[in-house]
Amino acid sequence: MNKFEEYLRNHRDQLDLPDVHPRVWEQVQQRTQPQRARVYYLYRVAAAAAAILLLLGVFQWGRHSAQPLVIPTAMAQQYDLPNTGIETLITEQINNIQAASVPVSYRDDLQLLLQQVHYLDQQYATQRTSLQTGQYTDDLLHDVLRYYRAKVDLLTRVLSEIEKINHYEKDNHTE
Amino acid sequence: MKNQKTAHSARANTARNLSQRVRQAAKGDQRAIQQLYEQHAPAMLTTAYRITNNLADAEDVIQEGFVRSFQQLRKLQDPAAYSGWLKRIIVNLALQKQRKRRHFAPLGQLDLPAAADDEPAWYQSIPFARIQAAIQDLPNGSREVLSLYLLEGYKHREIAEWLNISVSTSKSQYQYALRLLRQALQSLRHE
Repeated sequence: MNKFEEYLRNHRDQLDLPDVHPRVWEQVQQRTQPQRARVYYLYRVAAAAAAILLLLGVFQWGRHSAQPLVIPTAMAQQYDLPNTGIETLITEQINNIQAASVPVSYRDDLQLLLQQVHYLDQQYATQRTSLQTGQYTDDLLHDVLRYYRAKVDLLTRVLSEIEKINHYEKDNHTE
Repeated sequence: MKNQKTAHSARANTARNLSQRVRQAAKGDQRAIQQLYEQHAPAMLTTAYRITNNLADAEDVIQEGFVRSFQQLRKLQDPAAYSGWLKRIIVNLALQKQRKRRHFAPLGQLDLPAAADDEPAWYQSIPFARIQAAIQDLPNGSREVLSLYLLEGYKHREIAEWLNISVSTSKSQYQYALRLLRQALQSLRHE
């Protein structure tokens, strides 16, 4: 290698480009951030996560009729619900949510979902009261079945979110 | 002796910090990922640009290169080797991008003066920005060889493999690029 070559090689840092445009990092960051972190607005969580029971003041679940509700099979199929035991199904979902625990940082996100359950209960309160008399029209029954379907879906979603959160937390705190 | 020891321990510390950062990044630590990026991005952009000769292409290359490196970090057996490993990824991507534009001049018609080793260092008065511009003006194939050999420190055997040419072609294209560069810089002296 002659002196000219040596000069170029020894000063190659002086031949560097000055700066990298910030847009490059933005793209890298977007592509390397975990998908779940974006969805759940993840914060740094300490190794020992604080567990809390979810607030269940939103649940005002009680028996809706003197007798367990029996839904005509055709109607039950229309709403993809069991023709008996719908209240038991919902009670089980609520019990599972009550027994669950998530880190404090996720509480607000789940509260939003539970609030929707509360609004749903309020929206259909009249229909539920009418159902308790044991005498109801088909229209009322359709309304109530729509309510049950929506409630089951919401509670299923809450349980699914809890499972995802705890699974994600476990993944990120495993050595 | 003391200076050598200080320099050695500083290098050892730097290597340890890099390894630690790489291990953290492999676990998904976003801060460590950002630190690795900031530490390597400027040099990697330069490496890519030397090959692609186009800033937008070079930015695309390093974006892709960093993302791939972070996605495959767990496979890297020696965290201290991250810098060299990343550079290979970047060089590969840059060369792929250049594949269609690459052309090696037939060297049978070379008629350029060879360098004399004892000539005065006339080139030291030329600003580095102009030297860099002159390098980027070199023909595609020979510029890549000169950049990879002289500035990025790869051997002709590795360069030949990358570019799918013989070692002797790599060496002769390098000499060709060097002579073109000298001619270009010497003409600047007379401006």
